[in-house]
Amino acid sequence: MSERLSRARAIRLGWTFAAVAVLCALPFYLDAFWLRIGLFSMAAAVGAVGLGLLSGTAGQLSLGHAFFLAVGAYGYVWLAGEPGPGLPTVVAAVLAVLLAGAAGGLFSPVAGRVRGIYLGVATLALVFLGHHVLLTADSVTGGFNGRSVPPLEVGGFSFSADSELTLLGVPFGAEERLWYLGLALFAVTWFTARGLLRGRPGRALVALRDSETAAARYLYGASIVLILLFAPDGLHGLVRRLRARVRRPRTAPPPSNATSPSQPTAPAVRAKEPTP
Amino acid sequence: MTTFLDNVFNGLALGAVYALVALGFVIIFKASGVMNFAHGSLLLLGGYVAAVLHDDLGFAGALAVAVLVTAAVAGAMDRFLLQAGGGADPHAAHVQTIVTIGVDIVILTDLSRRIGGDLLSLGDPWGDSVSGLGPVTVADSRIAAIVVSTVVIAGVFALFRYTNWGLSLRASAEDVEAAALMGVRLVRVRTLAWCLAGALAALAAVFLAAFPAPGLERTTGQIALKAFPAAILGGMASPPGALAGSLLIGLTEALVAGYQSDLHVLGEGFGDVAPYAVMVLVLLIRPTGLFGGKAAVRV
Repeated sequence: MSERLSRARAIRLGWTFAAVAVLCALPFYLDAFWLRIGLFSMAAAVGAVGLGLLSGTAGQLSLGHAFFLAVGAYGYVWLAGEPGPGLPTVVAAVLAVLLAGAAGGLFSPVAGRVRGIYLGVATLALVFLGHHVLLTADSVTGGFNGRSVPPLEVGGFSFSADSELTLLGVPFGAEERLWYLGLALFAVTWFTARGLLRGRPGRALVALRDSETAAARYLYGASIVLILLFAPDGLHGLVRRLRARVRRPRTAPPPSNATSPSQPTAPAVRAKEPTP
Repeated sequence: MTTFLDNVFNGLALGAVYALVALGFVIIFKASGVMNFAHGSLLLLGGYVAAVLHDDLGFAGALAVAVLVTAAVAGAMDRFLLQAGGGADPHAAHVQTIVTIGVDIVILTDLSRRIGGDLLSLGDPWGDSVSGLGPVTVADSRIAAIVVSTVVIAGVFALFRYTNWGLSLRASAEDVEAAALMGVRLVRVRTLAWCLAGALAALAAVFLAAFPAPGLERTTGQIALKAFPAAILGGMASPPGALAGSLLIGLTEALVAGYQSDLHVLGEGFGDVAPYAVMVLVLLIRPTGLFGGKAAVRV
């Protein structure tokens, strides 16, 4: 019996590794257009994990995800840019995630009091109010026109096409670099969510869905759970920033052989030509 | 003082139209536990049908067709899309709520394609005429909005109170299982509720597109979203609450927009989001709305 189990486990592990290997190999074969679509998907996946925790596991209907996403995205841009404190981008990214989490926490006086459909519409209100605030607060958000996003830099390595980088004969532009960042962030989200679900907090969340009264009585205070819950949204915000980064590429000319965004009809899957 | 009266009257007229929409939300919620996010596009659909047909059928005929079409679409949406899935799942209402978001996107996309950037006239008989009402001058369409809404809403309340369908609806909202055992046809009651809500939305479209609004455009449906806070404010399961909430929201919006220059701190166009701000404040104090009952939970 246990032999069978361990065999099933080994097979599953094998599949997981194969999937990860394929995902890691993709930037060597796909061009920027497809990588960009992949990045969008990763951002959506991180958001979906957060929403899954919130709506699926804990049964809290949230329609306000866009708001937390915006807090994360604008938080990063403001923290890392001018005007703003101009912090190192890594610090700004981490703080932006915490900021979106804190925004979720700040909303918990409302979230902790209203239920079901009321909660859904209350979170919807956040989107409208947030949208208004973002349009009005010009100095932080750039108002209607938005702001350009400073590229993330980790220890001198920039996730943009500023510096030349060629790996195994494939030029690494912004999309290729961001691809691995996106994968890493998704992995972090995935394992965090899984760990959360398997541990005591996860049981608290399920209890919250199935019987809030019991959850409030025997486990944590429901509002603490809600604070925990809205926090993962911050991760989504971070990845949204990632997307923003891809959407508004810096004006620096791309390396000559990188696929430009203006040729979306280029052959879908092809090995990139090595740099001369 | 005249400005104040002007704003109050505008607010009441706006509130009366919101009440038509909010009442639709409440009826649907009572009958099925679903928050209908497709209400905005149903409203737009009603307006669009009326706008297309009013040349051939005249205003009254076009409006009648629009009301029927919208009611039929709303009923079909509930019967064939929402009731088809779910069943015993206790979270079915949540899932169906999210399905309505998808339906909204589909209908809205198609209507936006048809309407494009146009401003459609609904051919309503009031045009841009105005009447003097004491010290204030008001648009006839607004007076019509108030009168028609009042009559229709009174009619809906009478339906709730005096018809078998109303009794069945109230019974099934109270206790689905007991109602089913007493012979209430849940499917039919529910589908009819959706039809009624659709009809109300089509009616609201006429007044939302009438003077002083420029006409029906593809964003008209989004106005229906403001009836969300109205319905929530009153307590989702309470029709009189929806009425009170709508008037409150209408007044808030009109007053904030009217005194915008004094409220500059809050930013330009705060009137558009003021309903949501009011709703969050009310929910902080009364988590089930103004008229919603306290929920008792059995452990």
